[in-house]
Amino acid sequence: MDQKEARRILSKYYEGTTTEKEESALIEYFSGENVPEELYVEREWFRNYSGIKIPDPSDDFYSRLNAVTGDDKSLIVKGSTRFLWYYRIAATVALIISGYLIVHSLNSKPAYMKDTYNDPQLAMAEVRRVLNEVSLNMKKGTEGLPALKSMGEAQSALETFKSASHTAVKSVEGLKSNFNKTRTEGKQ
Amino acid sequence: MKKLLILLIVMTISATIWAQKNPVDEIFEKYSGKDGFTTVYISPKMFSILSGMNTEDKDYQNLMSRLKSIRILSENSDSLRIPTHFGKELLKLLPAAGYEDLMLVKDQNKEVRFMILEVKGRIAELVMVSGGEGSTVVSITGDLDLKTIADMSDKTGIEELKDLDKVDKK
Repeated sequence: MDQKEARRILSKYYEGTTTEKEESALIEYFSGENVPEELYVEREWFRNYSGIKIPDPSDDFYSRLNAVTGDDKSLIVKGSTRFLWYYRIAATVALIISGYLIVHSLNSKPAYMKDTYNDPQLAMAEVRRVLNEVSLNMKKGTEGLPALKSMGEAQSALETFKSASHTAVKSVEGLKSNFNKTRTEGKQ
Repeated sequence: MKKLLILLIVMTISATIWAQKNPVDEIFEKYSGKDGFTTVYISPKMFSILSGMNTEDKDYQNLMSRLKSIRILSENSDSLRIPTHFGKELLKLLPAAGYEDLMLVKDQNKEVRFMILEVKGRIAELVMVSGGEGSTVVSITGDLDLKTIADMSDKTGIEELKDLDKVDKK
């Protein structure tokens, strides 16, 4: 294996995608003499540590691990659950406060929202005065509208005139055909 | 825990949005009770009494039953005080709150603007803002029929309004 190939497999090795065959090729390469000086670290690694066999965990490894950690209450950090409860209480209090504020703002009325008149007669007189003022101002704003209304009337009058002229044209045509008919009959 | 936090945040945001007040309410709350301003309020409860009162005019009675409240805020034209022109302030805020222009009436030294708020295709509020020496805002709420309101001045005699001079406003 040349140096170029060794570098290619080495980069694969660092990515963790090498096959066993490629790894044994690397071990073979680095145990040789033609290793460049810049690959010194890799050479030392493959020469000394690559052969170390990491043992597989025994079958009862996980059950033993759980026996130590899973059931031991002392391993649970008590502070975290306490904080969780603090958060829950704080959130509940915040919910109650916001709920109260919403209900309060729904029910509370500003100071001015109190009847100015207690006597219905006076209230009625004030309502009439206000409506009259509003009405007068509205009237001022719609003063130009009667002219538009008469324009509408003119349009409808024009429509009537149009239909009348249509009828007249039809009658004239009828008369014409009658006249032609009698003339041909007279000739015969 | 996360769900609770999200719920809390959503509630806070929705409450903030919900708490944003109508500009008309804001103006009334800001200026009512202050020196130089007069506020008149006719409540829905009073309108329920007024609609039950015996009058010969059926149109008027019908109108009373459809009105919910009337609020008036007016600035007294006091030469010692600088006018606030709150009417102009209000007119700037109304379009954003969904109010639409109905009409603008310009007189020699007075400008009256009508704006309406529609809810589900019905006119729920009519706001009349008049400017000049002292602004006046009139807000009428209810299920409004503009034609009936516009025709009111034909029916209201000036004689009936004379009693108002005797009334003390709060």
